[in-house]
Amino acid sequence: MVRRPLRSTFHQIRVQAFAAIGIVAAIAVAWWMKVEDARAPHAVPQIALGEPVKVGRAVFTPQSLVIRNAPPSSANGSGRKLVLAGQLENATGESQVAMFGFPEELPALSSGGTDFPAPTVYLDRDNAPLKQLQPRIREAVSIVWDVPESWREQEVTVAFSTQQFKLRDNLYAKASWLLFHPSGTLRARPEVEP
Amino acid sequence: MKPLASVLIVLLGGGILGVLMSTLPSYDSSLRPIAVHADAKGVGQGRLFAAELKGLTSADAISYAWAGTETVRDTSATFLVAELSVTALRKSLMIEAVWLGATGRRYSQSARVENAPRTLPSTWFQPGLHDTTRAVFELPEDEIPGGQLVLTARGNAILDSAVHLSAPATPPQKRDTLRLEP
Repeated sequence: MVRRPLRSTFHQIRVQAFAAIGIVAAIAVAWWMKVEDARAPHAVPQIALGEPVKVGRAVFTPQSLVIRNAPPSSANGSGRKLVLAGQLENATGESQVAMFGFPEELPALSSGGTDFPAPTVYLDRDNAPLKQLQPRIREAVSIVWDVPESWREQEVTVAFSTQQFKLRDNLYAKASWLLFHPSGTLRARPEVEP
Repeated sequence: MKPLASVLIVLLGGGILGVLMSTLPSYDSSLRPIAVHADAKGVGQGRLFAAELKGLTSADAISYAWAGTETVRDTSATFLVAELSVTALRKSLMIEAVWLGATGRRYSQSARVENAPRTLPSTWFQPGLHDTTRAVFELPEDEIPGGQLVLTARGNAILDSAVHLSAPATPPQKRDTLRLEP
């Protein structure tokens, strides 16, 4: 049997202990980060009319919420439309066709358990669907929902979400638009337009 | 002494990696189009086409006829109309234009006037034939002086040439309403 010097054994134990502490610390930190992420739910801020909220790749400032009588644009529409009007500003340094992100995530309307179809966004200036938004030019827009016949006037909730921008992504170090996350919720009772 | 040397080697390696990471060109800057600037005569010659900026006009509103309907577009900023002469060099192609503003922001052609006559999005260029066309932008007025018109062949312009045509030193003539004729 070969006898190893006591000093060499201590050195080996010290190196292994050092490596083990490092591994355990890395696991503990990663685990705690996940716990922390799950433990603290990200509270979605409540916004009011007049307060800006991030949407997709732009910033929207809602200014009015009204119910307007108009010809129905679809077979199951009731002729009423819910119109959320406001100012939309491009938050990027280039012309955007994906103001509400890509794939597009338009504001989601909910009220009284009714299913609302996806809205259409109009550029008020042209009274035509919004196709593009230029940097540094705020535009008045209207987000318009067809209201189902069964829905009665009551408080509505509009949920907004924004797309995350990463200057250097983890794969190619390329500027990328990534996941969506909720950015704000508007609760308001719409006014009925005469 | 030996453990200290090991720690120093690890730290040195980390430092070198950090320097490499911070100085590595980004994906976008490595694969962007290659800028080609106009020569003394004002002609910018790319790999697939040559282009010349014939003039700039700005306007508060644009009007044109499309499919028998009169269309007028106004803006809270300004419309910038760039008149261009373009020659395809190797094959039939379409061209995209971006106005690189004085602040560095990139303005694509306005989709609000996409049906206007003789505009870039609807024009094909044939090899050897000179053709005139126009690009219409909607932008704040202070983006015009010091800006550049950047032209690329439509499609993927990665590592292809991008022709840069600088704006003249004098501000463009401004009109209340500019009529775009065929």
